[in-house]
Order: sequence, then C-alpha cells, then structure tokens
Amino acid sequence: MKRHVFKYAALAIFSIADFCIAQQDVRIHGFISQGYMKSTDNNYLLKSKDGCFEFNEAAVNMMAIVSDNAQIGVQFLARDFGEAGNHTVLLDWAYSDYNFNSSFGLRLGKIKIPLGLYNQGRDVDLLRTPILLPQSVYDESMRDFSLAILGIGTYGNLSLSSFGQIDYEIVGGTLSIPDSKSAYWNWVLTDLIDVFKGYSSYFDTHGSGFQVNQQKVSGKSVVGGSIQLETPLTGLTLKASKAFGKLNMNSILNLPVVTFNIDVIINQFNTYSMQYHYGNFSLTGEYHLHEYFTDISYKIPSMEHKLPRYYWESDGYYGQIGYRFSNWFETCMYYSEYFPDTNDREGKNKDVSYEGWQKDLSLTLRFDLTQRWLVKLEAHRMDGVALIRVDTDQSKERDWELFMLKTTFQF
Amino acid sequence: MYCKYRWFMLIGFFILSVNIFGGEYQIIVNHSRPEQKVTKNMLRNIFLGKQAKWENGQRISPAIVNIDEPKKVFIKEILGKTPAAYKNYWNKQLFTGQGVPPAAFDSDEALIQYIHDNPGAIGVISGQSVADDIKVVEIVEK
Repeated sequence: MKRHVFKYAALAIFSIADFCIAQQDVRIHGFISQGYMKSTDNNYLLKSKDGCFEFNEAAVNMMAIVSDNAQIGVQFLARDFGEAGNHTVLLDWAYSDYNFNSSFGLRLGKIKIPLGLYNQGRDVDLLRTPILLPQSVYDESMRDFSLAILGIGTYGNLSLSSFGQIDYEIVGGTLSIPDSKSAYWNWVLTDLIDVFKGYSSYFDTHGSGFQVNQQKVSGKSVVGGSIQLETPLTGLTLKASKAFGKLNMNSILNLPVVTFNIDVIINQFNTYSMQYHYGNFSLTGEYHLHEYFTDISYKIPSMEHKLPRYYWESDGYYGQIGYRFSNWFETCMYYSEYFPDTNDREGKNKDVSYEGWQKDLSLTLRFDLTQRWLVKLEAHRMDGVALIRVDTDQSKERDWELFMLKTTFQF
Repeated sequence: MYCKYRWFMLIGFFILSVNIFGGEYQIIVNHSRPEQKVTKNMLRNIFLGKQAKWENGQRISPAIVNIDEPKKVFIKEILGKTPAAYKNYWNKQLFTGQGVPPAAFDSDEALIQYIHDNPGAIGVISGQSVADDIKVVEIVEK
C-alpha cells in the first residue's frame, strides 16, 4: 500500500513539475561530493585506519512554483558512508508547500526534522565549513533517528518589532527510516546491549561479537520543532529545537537464536544553538541533550525475559570560530566534547575510562575554487573513544588523529 | 564673496547629487504594483524568502543583478550578510527544500526585462541605471 501511495505521489509531483517546466517555474539543482578519511590507531565511522574513500554523496532536487500560494519539491539522495548507504538512491525529502502568509504555511510529505543549525542539511557538504559536523551534537549513529518524518509541518515568520523576529517550524508524523538493516541500527543495538551488561548474566556473557540475522525497525510517532530568534543585535541568532518520538526495533541475533525486542518509549533530542556573524567572522555554539526510556525484552526459545525500564541521558557541546579571508578561502576551528552517559562523565563504569568521553579539536581549510566547486582539508585531534562504534572489538587508543579531504561540485 | 565660495558650492552640489542620484543600487518593481515605498525590513524578508506574497496575495518574484557593487552593498546594508553568507543561506534553503533563491541576472537590462514580464516582481539593479519604463521605489526605515 505504501509503495502505491509513493508511486502515485511521485506521478503527481512529476506531472505538476512537467507543467511547471513548460511555464519555466521549475528549478533543478544538485551536488556531488567525494571524500577521503584516514585515522591513526582507531577505525572511526568507516574503516579509516587504512584510509577510506567510502565517503560520498550525490543529490538532485527539483522545486516548482505551482501558484501564488503553492510550491512542490523533491530531492533524491544517494550516499556511501562505510557500511551505510552503499549508493542506494533514496527519497531525501519531498513535499507540497502551501503558504497562507508570512506567519503561517503548511507542508505535507517527507520533511526533515529541524534540530539544531545543521540537521536538515547534514548530508550537504557545501552548506558548512567543516567536513565532519561536531559529533557531540550531530552523532552519525543517531542520524536515522533524527533525520525526517512522513507527515505534516507548519512554519512561519513572526515579527517582534524592536525585539527582532522569530522563525518557527513544527513537524509531526512517523519517523522515516531509510534502511532498517543499515549499520546505524547495529550501532544502536550494540550500545543498548552494552548498557544492559550487569542487568543480566546473559548479556554479560554474550554482549559482544554478536551478529544480526534479521532486523526490523518501525518508526512510530514523532513530533519536532524549532524556534529561531533573529535578535536586535545584527548577526546574532539564537535557536532552540526539540524532537521526541517512539520507535520499535525487533532483531533476531545469532547468539544462540535470540529475538531481541526494543521498544523505545520516548526518544528525545534537545538542541540549543547560538550563532553570531560579524562581517567575515563567525562564532557558533551548540549544546545537545539526548534522553530516552527503553523497554527491552529478549526471547530465547520457550522463555521470555523482560529487563527493567531504563532511562539514559547523553550530552555534548561544541564551540566553533570561523573566518573568511577571501572569496575563495575560509577556515574554521571547533572544540567539541561528548559524554555517552551524563552520570558517568569520567568513565568509571566503562571497561576503560576514556570510553566515557570523546573530545575533538578540529581545524578545517575550505577553498571555493569556483562558484560551483570547493575543496576542504581537515584535521582532528581526538581524546577518548566514546563515539567509536565501528569494529567494536578493536583495541582503542585514547589519543588519536583523523584526517579528511573532500571535494564538492554543485549545479 | 559669492565668487569666492561658488566653487565650494558647486563641488558640494556635485557630491550631494551623486549621493541622491548615483547610489550603489535601486529597487524596482513591475508597473502594476501600487507600492511607492518599501521598508528595509520588508525588503529583507522578501530577499531571504520569509515573505512570499504582496499584501494583495500576489506572489513576489524577487530578482537581483549579479554585478559586484550593487549586489554586495545591497546584501550588506539590507540583508546584513556577506556575499558568501548570502550564497550559503540560499544554498541551505534550496537543498533542504525550504525555498528558491531570487532570480539572478548578469545585467541590469536582463533584470529590467524580467520585471516587465512578471507582475509580482521586485528587483535590485545598479544605482546608475536609467530607463524610462521602470518604476523605482523608495527604501524607508519603517
């Protein structure tokens, strides 16, 4: 049924777009990016110790103005990020937009969740200076949790007179999960099983080195929104955003055949952002709090076990300064800290203490070689391994470096 | 005494006339639009995509000329951004599906033709451009 709905929706969108192309009211744009990542000591995000080119994105979008009040748009995205993506072309966003007035508009379709300054455009390298968004706030393993919904959204701009103006956006619907077999969900499962070591002797014994034979992730209801204040001080923007919702993960593992059912009752993201631009100088800071309640049960043939409801909090923050020296050269530096468990920032409950944090000092050089082509070079100095979820059996060094190179062409 | 100061008066008048009649940019609209003035805030909202329609419900079609000085000065004075920040802002709107950037033209003549052809259009052109059949609107603070 879902497939037919998408088929007819796509047909409607392309028919309307075809009409708009004839009227010259349609715009087509896109980009293609290719990156390279190399780390010392630890594989991070990808198999990066040996250097990895499995790091690219390509997208094409079309937006068409249908009438004085309405426009439609669609973007297709294909990406490869280590074990995730593998160049599968997916619908990135697609919706119809009806604008009543500047303070109220409606969107219907697949809509990106407005979390923080960069979530909606996190797959678009040309929208920012750093190659790698600060993972303390934009954790790649949480991407599928927080990316987009299928549903409805509302947006608008409200004047506060001499106090500035507010842009708001609220979305609600079902969490849109690109691929329930993707590596992201394995990372989530690994984290959750790791948390439950100590709750159950079964997990103490079997909590690592498992494989997932079968997995289904079902998004349930999600609500998200943001309020962005353009303050009276020119260049200063403040933003608060939140998203919360439910999902269910049902996995059959190989150890010896276990059905593992996770009901995430409430999964909540809160991000508070500040950005200041003064001429070619920019200053950015964000704080992110992630909290969730989970109900986990697992079934070994003939017996079901239910674990106590668990509440978990992780948080992170970063500060970034940037300066554009010329039309073609810009640089930025950020420092970020992430704690997977706010009750254990020193890692006392971890196998090694430095699993309790990950601190990241990063420097990026961005070269806009033409209006459409850019190249970036980036280096990171890392302390801690809290965000390393690739090759969880690898022995991890506390202090390590990461180097990245990326190029993007847009049209 | 008059003869002594007349050169100063002539130079002062020249400087004044350049400021009035030779600013870096002008705002023009289609002849069918009734507006004689636009506020800075309204211009900002239009060219950042936050206001999509005129008061009578007609869709606004903003356009900007790709000539360095008028574009740069307009973006700085009205939008409060650098050219790079302006480009980044519209790239974000475009690639997250939230809006379409103002149409851009490489010459004042091409933009003026666009304004002629689109009843809801508003454009930014060079301050020195002169044409009989364009309607220039005044920019006011409030």
